[in-house]
Amino acid sequence: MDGAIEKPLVEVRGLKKHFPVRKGVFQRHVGDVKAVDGLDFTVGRGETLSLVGESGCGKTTAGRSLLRLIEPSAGAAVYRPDADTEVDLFRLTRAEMRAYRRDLQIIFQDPYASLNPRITVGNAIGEALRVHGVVQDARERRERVAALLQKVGLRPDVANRFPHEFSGGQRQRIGIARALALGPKLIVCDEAVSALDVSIQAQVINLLKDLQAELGVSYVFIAHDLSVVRYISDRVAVMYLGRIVESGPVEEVFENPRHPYTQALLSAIPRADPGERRERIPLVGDVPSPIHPPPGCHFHTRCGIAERGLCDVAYPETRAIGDGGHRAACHFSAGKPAV
Amino acid sequence: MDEPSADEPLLAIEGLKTYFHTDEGVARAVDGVSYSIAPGETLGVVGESGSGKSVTALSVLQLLEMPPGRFEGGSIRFKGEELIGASEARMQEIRGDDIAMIFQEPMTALNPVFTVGNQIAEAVRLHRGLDRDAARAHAIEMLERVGIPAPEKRVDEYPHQLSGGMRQRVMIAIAMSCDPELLIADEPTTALDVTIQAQILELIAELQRKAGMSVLLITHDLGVVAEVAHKVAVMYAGRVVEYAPAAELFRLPRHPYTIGLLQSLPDLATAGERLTAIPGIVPSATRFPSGCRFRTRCPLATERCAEDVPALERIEGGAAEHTAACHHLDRVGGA
Amino acid sequence: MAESKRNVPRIDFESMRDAEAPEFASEYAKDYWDLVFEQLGRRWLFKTGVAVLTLLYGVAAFAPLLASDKPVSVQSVALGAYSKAVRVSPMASSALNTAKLDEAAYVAGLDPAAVDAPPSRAASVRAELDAAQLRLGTMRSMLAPDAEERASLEAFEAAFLEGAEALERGDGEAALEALGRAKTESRAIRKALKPLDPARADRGGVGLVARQSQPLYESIAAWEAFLMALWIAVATWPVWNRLVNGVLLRGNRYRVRAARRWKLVAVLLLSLVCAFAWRAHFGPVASFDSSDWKGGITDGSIVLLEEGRSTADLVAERAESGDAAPAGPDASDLAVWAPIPYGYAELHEDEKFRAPTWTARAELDPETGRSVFALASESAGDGGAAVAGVSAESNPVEIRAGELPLNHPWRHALGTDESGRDILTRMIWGARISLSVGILSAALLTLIGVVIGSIAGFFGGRVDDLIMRGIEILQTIPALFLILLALAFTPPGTIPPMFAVVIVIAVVRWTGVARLVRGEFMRLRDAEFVVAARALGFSSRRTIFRHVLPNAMSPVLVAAAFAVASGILTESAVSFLGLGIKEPQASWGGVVNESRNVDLWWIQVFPGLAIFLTVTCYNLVGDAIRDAMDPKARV
Repeated sequence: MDGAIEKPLVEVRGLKKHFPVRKGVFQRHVGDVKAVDGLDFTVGRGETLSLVGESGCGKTTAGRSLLRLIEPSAGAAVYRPDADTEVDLFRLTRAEMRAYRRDLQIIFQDPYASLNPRITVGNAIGEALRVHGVVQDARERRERVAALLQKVGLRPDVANRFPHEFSGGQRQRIGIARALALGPKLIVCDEAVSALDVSIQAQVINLLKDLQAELGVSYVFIAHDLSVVRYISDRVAVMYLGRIVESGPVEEVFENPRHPYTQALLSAIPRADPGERRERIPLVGDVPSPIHPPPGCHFHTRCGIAERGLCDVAYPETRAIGDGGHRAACHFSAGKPAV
Repeated sequence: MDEPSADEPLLAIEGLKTYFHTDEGVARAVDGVSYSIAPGETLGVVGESGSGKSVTALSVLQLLEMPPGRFEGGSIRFKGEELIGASEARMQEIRGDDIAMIFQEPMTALNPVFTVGNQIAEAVRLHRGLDRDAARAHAIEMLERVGIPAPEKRVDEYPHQLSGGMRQRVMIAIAMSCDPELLIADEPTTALDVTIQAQILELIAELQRKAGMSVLLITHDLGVVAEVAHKVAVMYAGRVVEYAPAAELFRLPRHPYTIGLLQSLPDLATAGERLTAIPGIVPSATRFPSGCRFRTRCPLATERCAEDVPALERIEGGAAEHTAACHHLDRVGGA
Repeated sequence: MAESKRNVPRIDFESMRDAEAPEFASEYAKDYWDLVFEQLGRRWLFKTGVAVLTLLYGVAAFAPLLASDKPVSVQSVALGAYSKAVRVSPMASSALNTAKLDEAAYVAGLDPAAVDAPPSRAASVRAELDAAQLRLGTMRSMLAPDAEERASLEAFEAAFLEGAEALERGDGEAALEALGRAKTESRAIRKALKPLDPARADRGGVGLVARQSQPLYESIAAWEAFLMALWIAVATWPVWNRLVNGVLLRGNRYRVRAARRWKLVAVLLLSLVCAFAWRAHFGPVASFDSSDWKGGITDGSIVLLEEGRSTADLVAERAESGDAAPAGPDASDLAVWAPIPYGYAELHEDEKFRAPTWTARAELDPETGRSVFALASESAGDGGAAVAGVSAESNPVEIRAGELPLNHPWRHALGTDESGRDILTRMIWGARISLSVGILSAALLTLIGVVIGSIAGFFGGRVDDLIMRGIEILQTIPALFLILLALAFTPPGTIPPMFAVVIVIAVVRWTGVARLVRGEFMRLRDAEFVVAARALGFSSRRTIFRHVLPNAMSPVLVAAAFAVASGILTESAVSFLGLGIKEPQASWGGVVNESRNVDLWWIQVFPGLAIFLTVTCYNLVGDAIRDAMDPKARV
């Protein structure tokens, strides 16, 4: 990937999303849930960036804020539909944003909730084509829908079926076909394979990879399953309490994790090979509340190498490790090799 | 991992059939399932949704809605005692005291209006007849055993004040409070994050070692099974298709379904390669195919697979307990 | 590690990529309604409930045909009407008097309060002419076609017309002359065209020819015909639906689904056509014959006579046979009556508070009109007057035409009320009011609730807060109290009482539906398919009307079914308290209100049972719909 020469498709800077917490009769503002608290990341053309982390780390909020399905509180998202155009998605009005929706799509986690039960599969996919005036003619639209269904591995004659007649994996394929209908440049996959059975999950992962190879679409892949992330992504960003703690090329991060949280996360994955025993880095306690994150490094309350007077006072700077784009936000990312 | 003694099994399920009579027809959710658990052993039951793994476990405790559910045959023996047809009073004695169960969703499994202490104490007061103070002391001890910090404080808290991992620990504390001989864990870590999952699995394994109880671990996650189970039963469409010691199953899987499952897993070690997915979908329980139920998704299937139901057979060259139900075991590429 | 990995057996699943063809449970795509109907079809309680409700609505729609004091078909001479019509001289005199005035005096003499008084002499005379012509028409329809007396009618009409035309031309002289002639003619008509009354044949007169008429059908308005046709179409739905699906659509499920909407339209159109056909055939109800048929036949002002025969024939026949008895009420089969021959407001003062006639207690003495039961208890010494409401006067009971004999067990199957009105009849007619109030109030409150709930759910924030607080305030006041208050302050006469009740119920009761819709909006707003619609750049309107509202409507439909039941109950309560439907209109609650005396149990029990049955059926249907629409049962 020649990311150094070509400018990335999307560049997010300082993305924040705070949900106000209100209490009492008068809805007094008593604090904020800092779901996302200053994210910087980029997505290149045809690239897959994964956002990983445990529940409550803000990865889903980040994905939806990027598409402005949730209005972000602060930050900028520079989108470059082609080499010469630059727009900040967060500064567009709702009407202006509607035009860019064709380029930015989303696939959801729950295949049972992501399709309108009253509308046939064909209409669900074709509706976007009609609304955006891509294909006006009804017959031509049917052909396009058939082609899309075929592309996601379904028979075209299922177009007049209703969602309830499909299994989870098939519904997920339909959701993908719907997202593809407008020819997007970026798709946010929000836990898109998490709810599927293992054998079905593999089908859908393969499909996503095939589509990327064919159409050159970029993915922001939001997931908690690290083995899937390892498999599908080019780059990965590990999130903890609304911030990215480590990011970089996937090989690099998985082989050489520098943040203690990433290390713990990787060691916790159960492997389907009893012969393979590895050191597990135990994490104590739970994720703290995002309303009152701990001072200093958010992770220091559960960290094995935290030093009093440093980690509980200052939030570590994000530092580059090597020149491959690997970055980590830990006071000891360079100096003190962890564990 | 020390192999537990294989004398009389603690729990023996023989040809169990649990059907559901629904509007769409008869759902043969569990159709001739046999497996057994020796004392002190952990049996992992793996399968995808709809494989019947949870229904089998719920059949043991008879926690299914009947009707629509019905036992159509087979037997469930716990320490030699037949549970099918046992009175509800007898089942109530067994539940919680001899066999305990933990569920996937710890929030809904706990009663939100009682303190966790109350909920732990309730079980011991019921089954052991302890008085209030003794039960409370026992509850604190249990919370300590499942690794909850400051148990004297936590004992008076309500479920909503605890995190997901804590709640699952409380669930385990309740389950362990009467020192059961068998713990049924139905997807105990599915709703939890990986780091918490690791903690809980560790806890279950540790408690088992200390208490010497047996564990029936139901999960869809092959990784989880590999971590904690001694033996593994792989279920597909209401039947056990392969049964083997854990170490051997992952090294030498013989049933095409097991092989397919393992191939479907994206592994940390094998990035880049294309995943080999099993084609098709899991058939619905009312419309299982005839003969071998995996045949519609199996590249080895022949006409024989449509006619005869394959029985679990011993694997040549495998461990003594390694069995698989396939007509084409010889065609599966071996080691 | 990699070593052990490589040794694991592998199977090439890629070779079977074609297996992706999905299998479906059914050979055609079932949409949401297919599934709901399928579920409902399995519930016998639902089917029973629907069958009973259909029957009840049938009773309401066909009330005029079931219970009426008008004959369905009758061959008769309307002596009374003819006697009235023969008096044409007042018109002629009045016209003449008008013509005698000069224009200025006429205009000056106009009563300024009379808005529709004719503005000129000519118009006034023309109006008199119209009135006279109406009477002439009545007379002509009864006179034999070859009767020579018709000539005098022609002469009168010609003279009158000439006078009117002359006045319009301004030729006063000619007008006076012609109208004078008309007046003379009118006197002659009155003398010469006196009707022959068979009861008093000795007085002589002109023989009148009987004709056949259908007073009951003529009294049915077009909208009633529409509802009857609609009911037939809906009640036979299972039959013709199968035929249409099988034969017309050849069982193609996609066509069947597409045709669903058109079937509804077709049913409505067909009913509309029936209504128009009815109107065209029987004419407008404006010419509604208000004559009291039962009374007329009983007292002889309407003579039953075979069509085409004249009263003269009848008199001649009787003279021949020597039988001079007047035509009695049950003299012939010339009148066909509705199954229950009472009007909902028909009084039988002699039979007030009569128990159901199949009970021993209801027996009346035909001569004295007194209760045999009461007399028996009186003679037994325990005070027969204690039997409430039974008339102690001695008065023979009048049996009107078409009615059953006095002590026939089915004469008043469900007894009578304070004015001797038949309870069964009032219940049949009351079903119209009670069931309509239920349906209409539910429809209206659902509409209000959906609109307001959608607004709250869609806009959220302050709008939502405002609406929800408003709803909470409204809900703190007991609904029945509000309804009674609103009805008490509705000025009488502004709107028909039934609609007043409907509107008041809807305005007070919409809050539940609104909360429901708002809740559904809140739930669906974050549903992934709604987020997907936003991500696809659909407008808010499209998102709401296509993705949110249709999915929010299922619980609303269930709530609506329950709202019908509660509407019926509320109407009953309101009418029971005397604030709803006004007399002589009947509603079930109103009938119950006729008496609160335990001895008069039939007045409370039967309408009470009807209310209970209807409400129970609606609740059963609502329950079944809720179960059938339950998403858990579906997926």
